[in-house]
Amino acid sequence: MRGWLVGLMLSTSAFAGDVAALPEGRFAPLFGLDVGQSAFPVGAFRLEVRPVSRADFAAFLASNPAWKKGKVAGALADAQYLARFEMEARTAPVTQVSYFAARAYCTWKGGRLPTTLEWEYAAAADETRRDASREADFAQRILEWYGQPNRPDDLAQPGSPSNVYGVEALHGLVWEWTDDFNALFVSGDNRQDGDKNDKFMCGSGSTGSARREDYAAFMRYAMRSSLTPRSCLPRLGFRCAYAALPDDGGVR
Amino acid sequence: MRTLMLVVCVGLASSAWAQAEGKNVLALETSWKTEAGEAVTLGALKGQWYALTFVYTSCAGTCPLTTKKLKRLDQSLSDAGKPLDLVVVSLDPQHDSPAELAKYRARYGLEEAKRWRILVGDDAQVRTLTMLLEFKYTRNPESGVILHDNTVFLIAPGGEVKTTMSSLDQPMEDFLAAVPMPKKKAKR
Repeated sequence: MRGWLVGLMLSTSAFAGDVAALPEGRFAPLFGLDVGQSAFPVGAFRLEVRPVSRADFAAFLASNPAWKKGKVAGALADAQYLARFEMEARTAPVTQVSYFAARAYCTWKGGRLPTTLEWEYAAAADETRRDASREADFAQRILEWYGQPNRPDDLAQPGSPSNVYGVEALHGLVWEWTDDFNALFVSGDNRQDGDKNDKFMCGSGSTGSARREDYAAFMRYAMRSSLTPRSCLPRLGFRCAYAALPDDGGVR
Repeated sequence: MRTLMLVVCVGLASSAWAQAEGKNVLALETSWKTEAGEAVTLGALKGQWYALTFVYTSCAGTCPLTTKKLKRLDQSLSDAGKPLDLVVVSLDPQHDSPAELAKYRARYGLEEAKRWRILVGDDAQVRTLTMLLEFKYTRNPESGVILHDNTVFLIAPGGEVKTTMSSLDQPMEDFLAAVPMPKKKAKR
C-alpha cells in the first residue's frame, strides 16, 4: 500500500509533458559494483517518456541534412543506417540509427543519451515500485515482452505501461542506445587476461552479477556488448535525457 | 588443439584489423585544451602520423605501464629515424588540471618530451573520441576509479586508424613497422 502511494505521488508529481523527472536515488546495476559496494548514486535527471519517433527524427534530418541517409560517413554509421526509414509509420520509434546519430539528435534537442546506469535505474521501475528488478513478477513480464516475436512497433501501443516515474516503453518496444553502452569489460576465454574484468567468464557471468535472477538485464547487457557505435539495427532506437530542473529535487 | 587456438587467434586479429579500418578520429570534431590551456582540435593534427592513447594521472593500475611503454615506443621510434608525436588524452578531465599534468610529466621524466602532447577535454569530448575509436572506459561513480582499455592507436594523416597495440602485453614491433619513414624535405 505504501509503495502504491509513493508510486502515485511520483507518477503525478514527476511527470511533465513528454519528459519525466526522475529523482536522485541509489541503484545496484547488474554489473559494475566493486566488492563492498551495494549500489551507485544516481543524480536527478529527466528522461523522455517515449522513444524518439520517426517523425521526431525526420525533423532532425530536416535541420541537419548532414545526417541524412547516404551522407553519413562509414565511420559514423553502417550500411543499414535508416534503411527502412521511409517505409515505416511516422509514429513508430526510429530505428536503424547509429550511436553517433542518436547522440547528435539528443545534442540537437539540448540533451544527451542517458547513461546505462540512468537507463537501468529508470527501467527497474514498474507501475508502483521504483526498483522492481528483484521482483519475480516484473522480471517475468519483461521476459514475456522480450519473447514476443512480433512486438508492436507503434508508440501509440508501447507494450509496457507507464512506470512509476511516468516513463513508457522502456521494455516491450525497442532496445535503446545508452551513452556508455560499450562500457563493459568482456573477457576473452583466457584466464590469463589479467587486465580484464572476469565477471563475464562462464559461470561468473551470473554469480558475479548484482542480481543473478534478473535474466532480462543480462539480455540487455549482452545486447549492448554486441554493438559497435556504428551499428544500425532494426529493433534498436533511443530516447534522450536532460539535466534535472531545480524543482525536480523535491521528489523523493 | 594448439592449431585451433592459433586459428582462433588469427581470426580475432584479422577481425580487429577489419574493425580498425572504419575508425577515424576526424569523423566528428572534438575540442581539447593543451597543457598550456590553449584550445585545439584533433583536426590540427591532420596531415601527420601520430600515436594516440588514453590515461588519467591518478590511475594506479595500468596507466603507469602504458606511460612507460609509450616512453619505450618513443625511444624506439627515434632510434629508427622516424620520431612520432604522441598524443595522450586524459580520461579524467575534472581531476587532470594543468598542475596534475605537470606532476605526471615530472613523475615519468617527461618534462622535456616535446613530442608528447597531453590533451584534456570534457566528459562529452572524451566519450566522443573514445567511441570513434571504440576504446572502452567506465568510471565507478563512488570510488572514481576508471576501468579502461589499454590500446595505443597509430593515427594516419587522414585521421584513420592504421593499427593498434596493447599498451600492456603486446610486443611493439608490428606497431613500429607500421610507422612510415618521414619524407625527406625537398632540396631547394
